[in-house]
Amino acid sequence: MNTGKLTRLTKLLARLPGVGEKTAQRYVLFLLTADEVVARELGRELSALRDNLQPCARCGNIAEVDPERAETICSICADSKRDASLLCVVARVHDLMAIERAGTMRGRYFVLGKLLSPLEGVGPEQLPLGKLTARIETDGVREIIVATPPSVDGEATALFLKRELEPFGVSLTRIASGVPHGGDLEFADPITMGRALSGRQRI
Amino acid sequence: MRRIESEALLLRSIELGETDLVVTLLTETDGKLACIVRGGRRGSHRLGGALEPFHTMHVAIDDRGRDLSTLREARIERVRGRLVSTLEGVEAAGACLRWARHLFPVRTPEPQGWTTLVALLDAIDEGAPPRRELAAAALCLLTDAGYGLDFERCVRCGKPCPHGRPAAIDTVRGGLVCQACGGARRVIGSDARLLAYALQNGERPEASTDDVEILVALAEDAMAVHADLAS
Ligand SMILES: [Zn+2]
Ligand SMILES: [Zn+2]
Repeated sequence: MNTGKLTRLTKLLARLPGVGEKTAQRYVLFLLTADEVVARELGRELSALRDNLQPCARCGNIAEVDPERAETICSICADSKRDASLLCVVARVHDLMAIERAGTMRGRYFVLGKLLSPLEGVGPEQLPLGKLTARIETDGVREIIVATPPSVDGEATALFLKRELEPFGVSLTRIASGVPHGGDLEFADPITMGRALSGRQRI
Repeated sequence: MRRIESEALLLRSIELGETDLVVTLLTETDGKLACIVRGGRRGSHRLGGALEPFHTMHVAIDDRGRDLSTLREARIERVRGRLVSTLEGVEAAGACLRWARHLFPVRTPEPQGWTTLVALLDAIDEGAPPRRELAAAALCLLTDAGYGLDFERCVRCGKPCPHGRPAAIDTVRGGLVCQACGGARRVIGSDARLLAYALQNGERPEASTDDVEILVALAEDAMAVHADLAS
């Protein structure tokens, strides 16, 4: 049996996060045997994906390419109802999407693309600070919400942003962290509990 | 299979697939070990937020004597909240743990190296100047790993370095090289040399920022001679 093409697609699919060889093979067999339309449509979408979607030139979010426009701008940056003076800084597009799902963020975003990592030697020179400060000035940003994750790398990045952005006279806030909703205090680790206490709020 | 119970420091954490982590730990009892943490990415209840650098953990590891061990339990034993609240502290501590990861071989107990790192983290957490502590720890780590730099006498002929004179340091040959023995390209001032000697011996004199940075750079160069710091 000549299975070269089958193996090739299986190997490609197995490179996706969370997909092993077995799952990849199941996908391939499904695409071969189920409704032909699925395979053809998926193929068309995949081959156009990188041409149709690109990072937003302003914030780094995923944006649809508009051939009419010189710049690729995401729907959030293009939305005039969003508050341009409120900017939320996140590490990755995944985090932006998670915040959007909460539905309470009325400002815009800036995706750093990476975090400082003292253990890995990722230093400040690897963060897009120039682009961020340019954004502050062009958009008249007045508040920045630093929504990097509550990890050492996320905290280090937040401390770095505080040091670098304070001179711009913007109000800098950090998302809260502590015991999760529905969580049990008994099981909170000492770091989380310490942060929950230091970040307590008046009721 | 052997169960290791030890204090440990996190040297590295890498995501593996959707749910797992591979962590490199420096354990007090068994030295550097790479462990898989099943479900570690989703912050399992058992391990909680314990897998963070700079705090001392207590860990339980199932060790099969080769490749990856399995981290079964981890809890924070000593929180270093002040260290992680300053960028300078985090950067200095991070640099030193990164160097330790490169410098120490796997599965080799490093009692001195362990003491050096814990002392560094504690000192920064207690408010000591991070860069000076980093210089001290870096010079000590070199000694702990068997690559200590000699700031007292020429490594070739043994002649003591005269006071008040600049000193030539050869990181490949392991320290001072006197003029008569050919000297070295890197020359440090007398104050920097005395500071290095003091830091190696556990003293913490007042130090200029410049001298501290000279010693940090020197120690990093010396480490690069013995380990691939880029990996
Ligand atoms: Zn955008
Ligand atoms: Zn000599």
